[in-house]
Amino acid sequence: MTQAKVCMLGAFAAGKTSLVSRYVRNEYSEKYLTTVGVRIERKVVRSADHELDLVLWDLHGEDEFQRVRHSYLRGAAGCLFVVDGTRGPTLDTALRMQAEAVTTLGPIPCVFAINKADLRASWALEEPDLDLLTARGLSVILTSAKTSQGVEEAFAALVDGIAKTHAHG
Amino acid sequence: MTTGSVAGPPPDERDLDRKDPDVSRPADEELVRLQTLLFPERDHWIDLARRLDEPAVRAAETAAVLPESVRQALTRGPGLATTIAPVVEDAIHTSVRRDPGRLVDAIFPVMGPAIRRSITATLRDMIQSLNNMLDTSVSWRGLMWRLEARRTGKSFAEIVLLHTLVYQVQQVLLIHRGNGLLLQHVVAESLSLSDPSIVSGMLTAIQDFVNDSFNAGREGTLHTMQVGELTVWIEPGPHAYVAAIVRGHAPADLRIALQDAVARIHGEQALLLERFNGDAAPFEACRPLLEACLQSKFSERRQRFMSWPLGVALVLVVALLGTWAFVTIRDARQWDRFLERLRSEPGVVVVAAERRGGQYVLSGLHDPLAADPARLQAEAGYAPGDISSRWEQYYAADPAFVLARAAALLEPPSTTRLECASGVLTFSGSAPRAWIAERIRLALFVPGVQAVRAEKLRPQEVVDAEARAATLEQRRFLFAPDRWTLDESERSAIPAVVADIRALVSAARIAGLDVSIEVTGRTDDTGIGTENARLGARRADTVVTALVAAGLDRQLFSGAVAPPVSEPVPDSSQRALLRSVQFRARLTPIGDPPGRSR
Repeated sequence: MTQAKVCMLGAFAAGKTSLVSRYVRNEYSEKYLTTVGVRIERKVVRSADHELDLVLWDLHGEDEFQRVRHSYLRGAAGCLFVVDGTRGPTLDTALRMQAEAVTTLGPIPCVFAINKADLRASWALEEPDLDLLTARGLSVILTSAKTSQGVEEAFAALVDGIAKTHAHG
Repeated sequence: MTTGSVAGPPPDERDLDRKDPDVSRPADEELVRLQTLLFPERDHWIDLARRLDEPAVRAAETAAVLPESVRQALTRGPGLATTIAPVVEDAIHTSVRRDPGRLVDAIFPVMGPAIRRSITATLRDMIQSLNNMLDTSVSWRGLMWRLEARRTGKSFAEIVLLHTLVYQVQQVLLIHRGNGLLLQHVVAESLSLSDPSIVSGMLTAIQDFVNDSFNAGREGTLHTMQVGELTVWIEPGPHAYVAAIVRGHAPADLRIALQDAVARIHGEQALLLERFNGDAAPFEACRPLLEACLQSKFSERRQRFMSWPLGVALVLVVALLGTWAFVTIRDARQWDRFLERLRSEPGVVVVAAERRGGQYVLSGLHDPLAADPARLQAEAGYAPGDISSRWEQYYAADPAFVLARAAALLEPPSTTRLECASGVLTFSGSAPRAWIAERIRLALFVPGVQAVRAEKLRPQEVVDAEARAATLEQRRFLFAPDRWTLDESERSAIPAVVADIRALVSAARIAGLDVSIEVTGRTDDTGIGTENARLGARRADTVVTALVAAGLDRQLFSGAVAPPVSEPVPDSSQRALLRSVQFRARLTPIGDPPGRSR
């Protein structure tokens, strides 16, 4: 079975760990525990077309004091950027990290998960912000780790992109 | 080689050479001479060309240098062996397919010793494990380990392993250096460890973190990590590294084994490692190399505290003592329960109970009406021979037993009730006069009866006569308004009333009683009082006349007129019941004046 390293990237408290927990173990907790360094999770994804052993590197969130080490990105087959819909600056952080990831890794599949869709009423992001991402050719999926909305779809989109890369590679 | 420094001959030179045997013309001879002048080494070149062109010559020359070439290649490293291994394997397969007998003949001299060595090793391991088992089973240490296994929920074998282990390589992982993905991993037997993919990711992340933190660069590698009782040994290669998870203190030789594995894996799988894209299947071939690193060493068996036969004997003694204690305690509890049961049984008094000469001895008092001690003994689980018992008969003063004895002696009729309290036997209900006269005095002879009370016991004959009188008093003759004659339907009841009265007279006579019957005539609430009194008297007289006419003695009857109805009766059916004649029987002892009744 083919393995693939996937990095979860984004600002702090954007919901990276919650998305991974929901995706891997179908669990969710309201309690916030900040990720120190990196947590590794694993999930085997099977579909009619492919079978992939995803090794998810849930990296700590970025803020003004702490940047993600580029060495953690090395060898990643794809990246999932997590944006907190209720905090506008997290989109800028994610875009900057995506640019850095592309510089480090080259053109790899990237998916933007705009998280906390269950709090849509209090979102700071607006449609034009999301349109901007789409216009750049990025996959954008609204997610909620709390309600599971879009979680499977976001990872499925990334897995699809990785599978295509492997097929062409 | 000279070919590197000297220009090769012109292409047509060989052609000229090939034509050499056919040279016959003078012009050709001239040409040869010219060539010899121009190329003094012409003959050498011709010889070289011939050696290169003819395979037989080339093969012969290669054969001459091949042994030396192989020797030199082997001294440079394992490359040649690795390269020719598939050829040798194919050759062996082909040989076996073609003629298995040849190979069998060839390896026969080594097969015997190899099999012997294998059997010896297996037997030695078996004896060692048996020794360990006996040692740990009967020793104090073994008992402690069993307790520890029970307390921690681990298997006994696991606890033994933990205590006797010097070191053990529990898991070896081959991890790609570029992306931290797991290429291959092997685990020591009977161990269950966490997901190796996650472990390899975390190891890589830690490596990256350490490298970044100390600016060690790609060449700097974390070689050892200590986690509790576990040590992670890491041996890096250009594209992948081997991580060995070790419990205990491994010798430095393990590092060499890891280095060897990394080197050989990189030697054999260099291209695959360089182009690794996530598919780890080809690295299955690396398993034997990794398994070679799963080394372990156990501590030497310590001198036993005691020999195992002594240990077995000790265990047997402890087991026998335990069994004896268990049986003794169980028997004592059974005996106590039996005695308690006997003592709680009414009519049984245990005077002495003891164990004498291996047998229980029991003596006491027993009421004939109490539960049978033999039955109680059987119920308690004792065979008849288990207990030697002696029971003396006695009469228990327990009220239940006194009553039972009284009932057996006096045989009271069903209408008589007996009660006993504090030695006083009380009779109530009714009984035939003859029984009362004969049996009541006998009651004082019943063991346990100190006094008798029979005031509430009535003669059955009197009770019967009173029942007849009550039956008659239920009778009633009804009359039409203002009429004192009986209509047909009322008259038809005369014979039944006559029979009732005769039965009453007969019962009274048996009871020694006289009977007088008061006949009361009644009227309803209408009419004038004096008229009603007269009408009531006439109605009573009509009934008495009819009964006398039917054969009864007039002396039995006395007439009476009911007092007038004081309250108006609105209901016509109730009013009809008022217009009636009823009876009241008076029973008096024979000879008493008629005024005294029952």
